[in-house]
Amino acid sequence: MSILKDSSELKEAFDLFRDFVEEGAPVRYRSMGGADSLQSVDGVVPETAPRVVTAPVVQTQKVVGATPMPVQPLEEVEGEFRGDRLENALIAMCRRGGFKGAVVADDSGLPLAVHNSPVETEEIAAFTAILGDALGKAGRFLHEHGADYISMDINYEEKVVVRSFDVLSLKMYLMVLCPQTMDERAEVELSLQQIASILSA
Amino acid sequence: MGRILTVSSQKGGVGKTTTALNLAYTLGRLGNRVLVVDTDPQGGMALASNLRKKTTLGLAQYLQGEAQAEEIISPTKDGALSIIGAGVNEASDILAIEDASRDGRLEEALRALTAGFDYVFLDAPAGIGSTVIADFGVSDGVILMLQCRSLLLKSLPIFLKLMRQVRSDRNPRLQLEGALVTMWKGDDPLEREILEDLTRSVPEALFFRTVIPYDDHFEQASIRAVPMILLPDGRDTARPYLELAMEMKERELLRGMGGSKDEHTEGLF
Repeated sequence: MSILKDSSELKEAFDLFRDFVEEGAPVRYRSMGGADSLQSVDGVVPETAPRVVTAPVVQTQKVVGATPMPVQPLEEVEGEFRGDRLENALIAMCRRGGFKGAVVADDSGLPLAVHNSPVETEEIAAFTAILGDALGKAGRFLHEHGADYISMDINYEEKVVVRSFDVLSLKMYLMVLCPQTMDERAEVELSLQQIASILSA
Repeated sequence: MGRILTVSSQKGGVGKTTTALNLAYTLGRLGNRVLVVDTDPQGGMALASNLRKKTTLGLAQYLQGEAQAEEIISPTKDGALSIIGAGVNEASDILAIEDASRDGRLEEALRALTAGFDYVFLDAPAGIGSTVIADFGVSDGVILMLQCRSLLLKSLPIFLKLMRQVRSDRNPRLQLEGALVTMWKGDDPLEREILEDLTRSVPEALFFRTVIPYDDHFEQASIRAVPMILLPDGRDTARPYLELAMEMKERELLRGMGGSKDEHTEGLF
C-alpha cells in the first residue's frame, strides 16, 4: 500500500473530490502506465495498484459477512504468446470478479504475468516468498499439509489473497488484490484452472 | 460573461500568487482580457508584480469608499492583463477586507469589479476563513493548489468540505476547476510516490495534467517582480504555465461539447 492510501484523511478527501465531478459524468482516474479505469459516479472505486504493504494482519479464514461473488463463465483467452494469454486471463478474471489486480509468480517470485500488481514488480519476489513460506509453515504447524490459500488485510478496505498451486511439479502462486467484503474464492478457483492450463500447455 | 477562478490552498507558500500571476499573464498573451484580484491581506500580488510602483490603492480602499474602480484596476503594459492589489498599507486595511468579507460587501465589490473580463483570478489568502468563503461565493471555479507533502494533503478534507458547503448554501455554480501540483521536486522519491498516488486517486477531470516543478528561477522572478516568461532565461521555466493555460482551454472546450442525444442533433447552420 502506498504512502497516502493508509490515511483516513486522504480517503475522505478522495471521496470528497468525487462530489465535484459533474453529475452524470464518468469518473476516470489517470493511470501511471496502465490502462485508465472508467467507472460511473455511483460506487466508484479507483483502480489503484497499491505498492507498499503496511500493517499486515495475517488471516487464515474468510471475512465474516463477505459478499459471495457470482461466478461468470470463462471466456476463451486469446494471445499469441503464453505471457499474453496469461495476462489476458488475469485481466478477464479481475473484470469478472471485480478484483483490483492480480499477479502470477513462480516459486522464486518471478512474475509470469501481472495486471495492476498490488505490490511493486521488484517486490513481488519478496512478497511471494514471505506468503508462500507462511503458507508452508502454517500448514505444518496445523498438520494441514494441503494449506494453499492465505488472505491478508492490507488496510481497512482491501486484502491480498495468495493461492499456491502446482504446475508440472513446480510451485506457483496467484496473488489477487480485492475488497475485504468480497468472497473471491470461487472466482479464484475457477480462474486458477484456466491459468494452470495455460502454464502447462 | 467571463469566468472567475479562485486560486486557493489550505496552506501558504505553495505558489498561489505565482500561479495566479503567471497563468493570468499567459492567458492574456493568448488574447484574453484577464484580471487578477489580490484578496489576500498579505498583499503578495502587489510585490510579485511590482504593482506598488504604480499605485498603493487597492481592494481595501475600494471597500472603504476611498477609491473608485478605475483607480484600483491597473492595466499592465500589454493591455491584456490588469491587476487589483489588496491595498493593505495599514492594519486597518486588513480589518476592512475581513469585515467586508463577513458582511457580504466583498462579494458585491468583486462582482462589480470583475465585469467585462474573460478571466478573473482571485488570489485568495491561505487556509479557510471569511475572505476565502467570499471568494468562493462569487467564483465559477477553484484552482486548488497542492504540494506533494502528505501532511498538507491530509488537511484537504476540511477544505473540500468548505467548498461543498459554499456550493450548497451560496453558490451552486462553484466547481473545482482542478487540483494543481506545484513546487514539485521530481528527484524526490517520496514526492514522486505521492504524486503517483494522487493521479490514481483524484478523478482525472479534477486533476491538472500539468505539474509546476520547483525551480529557483521563480525566486528570481519574484525578486524582479515579473511573470516568469519576462525573465531573460525564463521561457523554459514558464512553459508549464503555458501548458496549464492550454489545458484549461481544452477543459472549457470539452465542457461546452457535451454532445446531444441523436434526436436533438443540430447542424452547423
